[in-house]
Amino acid sequence: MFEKIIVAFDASPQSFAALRAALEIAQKFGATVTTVSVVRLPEYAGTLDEVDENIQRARQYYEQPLRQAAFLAAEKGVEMKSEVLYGHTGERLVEFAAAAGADLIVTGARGLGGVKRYLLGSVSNYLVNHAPCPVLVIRDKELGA
Amino acid sequence: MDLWLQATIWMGLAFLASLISIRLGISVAMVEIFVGALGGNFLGVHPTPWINALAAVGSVVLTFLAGAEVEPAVLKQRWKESLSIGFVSFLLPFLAAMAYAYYVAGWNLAGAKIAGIALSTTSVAIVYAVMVETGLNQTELGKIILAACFITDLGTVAALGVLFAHYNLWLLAFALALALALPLLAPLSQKVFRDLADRVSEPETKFFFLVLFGLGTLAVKANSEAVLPAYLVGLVVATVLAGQKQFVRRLRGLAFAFLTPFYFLKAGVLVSFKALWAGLGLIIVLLLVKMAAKLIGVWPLTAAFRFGKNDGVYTTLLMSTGLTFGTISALFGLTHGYIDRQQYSVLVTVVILSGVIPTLIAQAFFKPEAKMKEQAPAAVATPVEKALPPRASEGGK
Repeated sequence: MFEKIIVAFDASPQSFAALRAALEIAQKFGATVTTVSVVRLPEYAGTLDEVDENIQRARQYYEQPLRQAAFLAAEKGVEMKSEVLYGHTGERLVEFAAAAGADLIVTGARGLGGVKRYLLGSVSNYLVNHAPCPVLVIRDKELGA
Repeated sequence: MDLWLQATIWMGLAFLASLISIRLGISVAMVEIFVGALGGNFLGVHPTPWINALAAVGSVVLTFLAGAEVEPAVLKQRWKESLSIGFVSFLLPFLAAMAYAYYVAGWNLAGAKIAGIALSTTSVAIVYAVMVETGLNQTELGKIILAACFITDLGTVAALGVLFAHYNLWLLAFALALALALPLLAPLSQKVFRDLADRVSEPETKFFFLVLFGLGTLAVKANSEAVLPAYLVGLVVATVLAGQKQFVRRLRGLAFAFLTPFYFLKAGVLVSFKALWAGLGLIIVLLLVKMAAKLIGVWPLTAAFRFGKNDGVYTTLLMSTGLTFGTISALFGLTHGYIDRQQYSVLVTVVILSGVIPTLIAQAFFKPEAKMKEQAPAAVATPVEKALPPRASEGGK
């Protein structure tokens, strides 16, 4: 039923919860998993350095968590790739899922409410409304999400 | 108002701009202009001589860093396309905006020239960020666009330096000094880095400031603009600085913490909201003139170089963006009395809008989807792959 699973991965505890769920599913269905991390670049940047700095920071930020994700996948015996994209999180995830022919996106929920949800936006909400495939939103009670 | 209170207010605004910029993910330069405009219009903040001095040095260092970002190798590859697109991307908007300001809006010739220069610009940084998002920066097309942006910037800076210069002995001295210094600067700076680098007293930083201030003095004496030699110096030492990342980082830290905030805040403080309202129609028309001129000039060239319809429109829209050099040109015009505050407010607003609107249109309707697959996050993927046990590693590839 599932062959290509995408995990929206921002290295948060919620995204690790999503990754674990995706790996469980992948193990059952013999699917591959791709973690997709999206780095936001400055809008209307003033200098090239401003852009490069964000890219550099992202590389440092994701290095260790992606290594950890790879070990989790290896433990389960699941094939896993990691992609880091740049731009708006929801948009890029949807575009990537469409281009890769994904048949499931798994994402964590931050459990934002009210004003925070309005200001920060909800990736899971965007995915549910725009993704080209089913979306599984993992709510982790222990994380309060 | 005493100096320390002024400094506190300006640095407070700069800090606030940084926080907003980080929170919203919008360029700090743009936020500083906006915060400066709010401060100028609602808090009565205004520039003082020492702020003007820091702002002036800020614009020079910023331009130097912009020149140093140029990759000569990129300029050499496909130079025909880059040169022609870049030059036309400068020339047509310059002529169109100048003609509109002079013949239709009734600005005087000097003011019209400033309008032409300010609206001829292309923002390399905005273009670069958009290309990284689409993965276009790794393609041939992306490299041509980026190189063309550098050429456009060079045209803008050269026009600013040449069009208002007094043709006298100072200009001759400036030209001679440039002709003498530019070929020597790359080997000389290499020697400075080799013999003097990594000392607490930062002699290499002082060396570059000395060069920039010296050439800037001659430029200003000739009624030219100090950003012209700054960009050229950046350009000729770009290859040397490519191997001095730590130095560039320190210089950028100094500039962004203590110099450019004063420049961009000042650029905003001098914007009058009243003048903006009065010039709303002109703002819209000038923005359309800039975008139309870029379209007329750049789009046929992209077709001639077989970019494909979608890529051609996308390139044209990206070349229509503007920010830093546009504000530098407008501020130069205001400082030298070539334009008044109303005209300045109109120009800065058009420049900022030109940074936003073409990008939004390009991203919404003309994004080259196919290029996204070429994006390879090698720097992240490598350590993960190395860490993987054999089975997962095979899957990872």
